[in-house]
Amino acid sequence: MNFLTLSLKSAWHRKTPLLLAALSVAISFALLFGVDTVRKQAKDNFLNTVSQTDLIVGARTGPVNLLLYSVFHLGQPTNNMGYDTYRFLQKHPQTQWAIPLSLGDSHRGFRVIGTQGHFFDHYRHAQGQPLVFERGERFNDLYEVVIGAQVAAELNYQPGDRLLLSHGVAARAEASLPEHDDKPFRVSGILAPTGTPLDRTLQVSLRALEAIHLDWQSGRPSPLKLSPELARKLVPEPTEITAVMVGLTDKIQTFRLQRQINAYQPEPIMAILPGATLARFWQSLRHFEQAFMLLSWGVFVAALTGILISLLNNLHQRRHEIALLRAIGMHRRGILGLFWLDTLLIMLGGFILGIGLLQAGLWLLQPWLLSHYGLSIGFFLPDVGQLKMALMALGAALLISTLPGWLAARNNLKKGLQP
Amino acid sequence: MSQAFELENLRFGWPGTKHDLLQIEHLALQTGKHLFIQGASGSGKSTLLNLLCGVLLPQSGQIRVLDQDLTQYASARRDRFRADHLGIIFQQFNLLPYLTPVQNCLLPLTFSAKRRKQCPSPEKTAIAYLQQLNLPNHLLQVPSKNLSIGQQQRVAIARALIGQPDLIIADEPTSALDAAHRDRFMQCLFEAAEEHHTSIVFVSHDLSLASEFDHQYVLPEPPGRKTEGSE
Repeated sequence: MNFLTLSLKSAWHRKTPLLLAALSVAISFALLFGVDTVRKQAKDNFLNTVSQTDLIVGARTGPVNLLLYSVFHLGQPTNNMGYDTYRFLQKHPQTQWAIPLSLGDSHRGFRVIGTQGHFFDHYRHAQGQPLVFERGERFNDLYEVVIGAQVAAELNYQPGDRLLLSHGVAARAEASLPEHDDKPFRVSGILAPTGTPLDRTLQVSLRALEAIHLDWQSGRPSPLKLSPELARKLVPEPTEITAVMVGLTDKIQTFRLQRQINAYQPEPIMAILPGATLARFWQSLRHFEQAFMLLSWGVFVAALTGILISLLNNLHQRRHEIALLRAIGMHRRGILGLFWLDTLLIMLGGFILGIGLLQAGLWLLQPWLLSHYGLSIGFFLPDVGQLKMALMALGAALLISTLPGWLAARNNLKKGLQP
Repeated sequence: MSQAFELENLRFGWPGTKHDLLQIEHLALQTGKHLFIQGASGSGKSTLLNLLCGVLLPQSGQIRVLDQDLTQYASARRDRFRADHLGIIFQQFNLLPYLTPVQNCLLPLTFSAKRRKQCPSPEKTAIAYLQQLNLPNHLLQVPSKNLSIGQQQRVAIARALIGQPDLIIADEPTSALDAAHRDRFMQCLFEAAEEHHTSIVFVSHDLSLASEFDHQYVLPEPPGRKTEGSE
């Protein structure tokens, strides 16, 4: 029997305290990897909200502001832009496609996006994934609406259901808004989850928005009522929209076109590069990220303290064993080895248990995370960065376990063989 | 004739104490002989054994074990020397409770290539020793924690003897045993040592055992006494 098998047998003999220590390490590893994974994948989700859109154009405002209200539907657009400008962008020789977006109405707390049918052809999220209809299809009729996955799930809508749009966007979901109650919409389709804010929106055609506002004046229903069918006949071209998403034929032209748009004479508009603006915005959220990581490391320090306590408890129990091993010729450094091996076993066991724990936890939480936060978090094995964290933790644990090892060695020197 | 061990002008005191615990001008034992060391508790019996084992070093003087001066060796070399040449029996806790008696017997081979070489078929030898020491067969392969104290001490003899060490050092090995078990232990120890021509240093406060040994030595009361216990 060599020293290693001997030490392993000894560890097996003390398996209960070791297992408990490993469990506390496992929880720490699960938390550490969990927070790190959520952090990274939330960032990916965030940065993946718009993909393959080269420019977003809107009324002149701050770049982050334009990004937030056009893509994340956060805050209010300060100004609209003319539909003529959209036509200009659409006809521009460098434009491959241009999608108009018109915001301002809502349905029970969810935003309504006025757009056009080719929105569903060109909108891309994640790494260029197109929109997929879970059920039904895009809007074809004027009074048809497509709803996002979360809207469908929370309000339990099926294709064919009828719903009313409200005028304006409420600060709180329960606030009452005037409804376009004479012109109900029929759900034509439900989008599959995308993990983006789009899941919490409804999409109708630009002309539909014009139609329901036809008999409204300055934000209120006018006394003159038009029936849905009459409105259908009278509906004019839109005059204003909120923003335009633009895809270019040649990416190299992006900056040139951006400058050209920023200098557009007929009205003050601006163009932003969504990827760059998203990245800049994420930078400003870095403090939250750091706070979470700090918290996880704090939990880890608690687990290391747990290891230390368990090893110190062992110190007394193991003095006969150590005396015996010394008597048969083990060097005093071997005592340190015994404690290190214990720590190594605890950390290794904790690492494997922790991965299992995190996998199980995320598997259980996945549906909830997706439905409440639109987060699609997956974890299978730690990535390189997380392995580095694990190695650092192992280093710290070995360093800490040097203390009981050193105490035992010193005790041995002071008292000789017989404890 | 060569010496099993020889002490010359030995002085040892625990750090932080005023007086030396041990002061021995000369003490030696011839190879193959058996020495009984008697001393009151606190007289430094265990300390003397730790010195002989190379675990502790004296403040001054020479410790020659098997004609090698331990005080000249670094600690790693003393550890190797102990692994190769000595068999040690404690008062109790001689076995690792999670190993079987046979596995416990084989422990000294872990750290000593010399003893591995001197014991070509370790398992067989261990079983033979244990049977010779009257350990019941059904206990050979069960965890040692199931053994009685008397049985455990006999396994300790087998463990000390495996791989043919030159010197057996026993620290009050019988003090946890009743009279019948004690006699049996002593008989086993002497038979085994005789067979392998092994020297024995045996420490005890039990004077009734002294007559069975070739030589006896009484540790003097330390000067300025009752400071540190050695046990």
